[in-house]
Amino acid sequence: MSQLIIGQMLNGVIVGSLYGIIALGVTLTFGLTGIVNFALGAFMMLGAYTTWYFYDVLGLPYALAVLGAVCAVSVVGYVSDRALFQFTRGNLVNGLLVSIGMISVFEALVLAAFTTTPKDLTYVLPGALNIAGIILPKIKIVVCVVFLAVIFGTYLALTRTWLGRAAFSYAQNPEAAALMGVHTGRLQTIVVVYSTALAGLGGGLYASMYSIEPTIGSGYILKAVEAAILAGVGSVIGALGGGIILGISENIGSVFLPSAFRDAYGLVFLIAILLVRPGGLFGDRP
Amino acid sequence: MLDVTDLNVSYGKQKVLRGISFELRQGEVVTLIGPNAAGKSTTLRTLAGLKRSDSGKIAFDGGDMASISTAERVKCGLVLVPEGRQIFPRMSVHENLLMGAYHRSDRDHVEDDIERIFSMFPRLRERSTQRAGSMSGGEQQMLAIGRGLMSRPKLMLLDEPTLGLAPIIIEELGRIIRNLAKEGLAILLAEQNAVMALGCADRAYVLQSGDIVTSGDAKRLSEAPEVKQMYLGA
Repeated sequence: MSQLIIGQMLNGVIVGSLYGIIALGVTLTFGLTGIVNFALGAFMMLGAYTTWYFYDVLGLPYALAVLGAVCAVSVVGYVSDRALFQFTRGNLVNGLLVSIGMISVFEALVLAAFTTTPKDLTYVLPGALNIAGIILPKIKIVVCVVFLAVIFGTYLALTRTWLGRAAFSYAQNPEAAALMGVHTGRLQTIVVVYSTALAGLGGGLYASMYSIEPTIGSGYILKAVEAAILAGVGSVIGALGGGIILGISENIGSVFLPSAFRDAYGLVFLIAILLVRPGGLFGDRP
Repeated sequence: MLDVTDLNVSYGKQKVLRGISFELRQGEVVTLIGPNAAGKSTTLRTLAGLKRSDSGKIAFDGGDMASISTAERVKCGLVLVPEGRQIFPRMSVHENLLMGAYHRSDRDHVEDDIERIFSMFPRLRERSTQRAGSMSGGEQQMLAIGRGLMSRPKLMLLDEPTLGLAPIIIEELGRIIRNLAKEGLAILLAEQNAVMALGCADRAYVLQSGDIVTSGDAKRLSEAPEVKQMYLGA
């Protein structure tokens, strides 16, 4: 039994880090542009399909395929910012409408190009580790480590680099940041694009573990928004923490309670935490 | 060094500044005094580029400011220390000061300047790693001024720096402003606290419902009967 629980916790951490990387994009985008970009789930899906295309169809090495996918998704992110999101700055409702519209467009395009048949990548990294009776596929460990590294890297960038500090200061007080000489428009575009790149990376790595279809993004974006709220919007480390708490509570909940309701266990946790700490768990951390 | 001519600003249909003109020379402390809603903050915010003017000229250091962004004005040496301090509450004191130097190209010299700010405000050195939002109002005001100085300005716009501060801190603030001016910094001070403002300024403009009604030497103005009656409570 304890093996099962520990195994499920580890699985929770892995799924949670995927929630976390998208939640990070949600929280950064919200902090700088005041909108919740629900289309980040669709960007994740684009990342997954582009990776599949580069790896399975064109035959590139997996790492290169993911890198290419992240670049391609960033370009789409940049175009979407210039064409649409730059007109929804600070306007939550318009941002919501635009991002939901984008989900339909992206899903329809992918559907038209690749049909609804799920795609599976040929094994990227076969094999599994057996740690004291707990079996963990190697690929899941690698994916989790990459996510953790990117999230901590982002945290370091936000606290140690000029551009990162500018972004963090803007999230706290946009006007004061402008008074420091921060070019606010440029900064917003950078962060919107970076968030889509994170989602693209999430999708690219997701594709190595699970089969992909045009609708995979919708479940993950909801979890990511949940994780961001749970953590306290605006916190990088919190996005990771929130994602992992959500991942673990779903997986452990499914051990003791019917797994059909797994999506609800995280929500119960969310409500419980917000009752005690309305600002979220990490609400005042970078 | 600053030459403002016929500046008109409005919020919607409401005219807030009705063609005001004033000037400021290097190393000079000039104050804008006047009651609430006279247009003091609006003047400063327009100079900093946070608010657009309808018409009028803002010449600073020989260049025309009206058409360039806030960030570019900071680069020219025109910095606003905004009303209510507006420090970054979730950053440390040290990080706040670093942000003040954000636009500078000589980022290697930034630590030396921070050292200079710390010797000017020893309290900030003590609290260097502390979260700025947890400090007292007076300390936050010192930090806001220090952060403004980090941009190496030629002209500093101070918006209501005494707001909510204890009398002893206000006195200290006056000394700091005088010292900065002695080092060659020009300061434009918008204040409701006319006693403090006239005490530390060289010249003053009295603003009322968007018009400059009186101006002149600060000491002389503080003795003028109409100013005394309206702003000094005499």
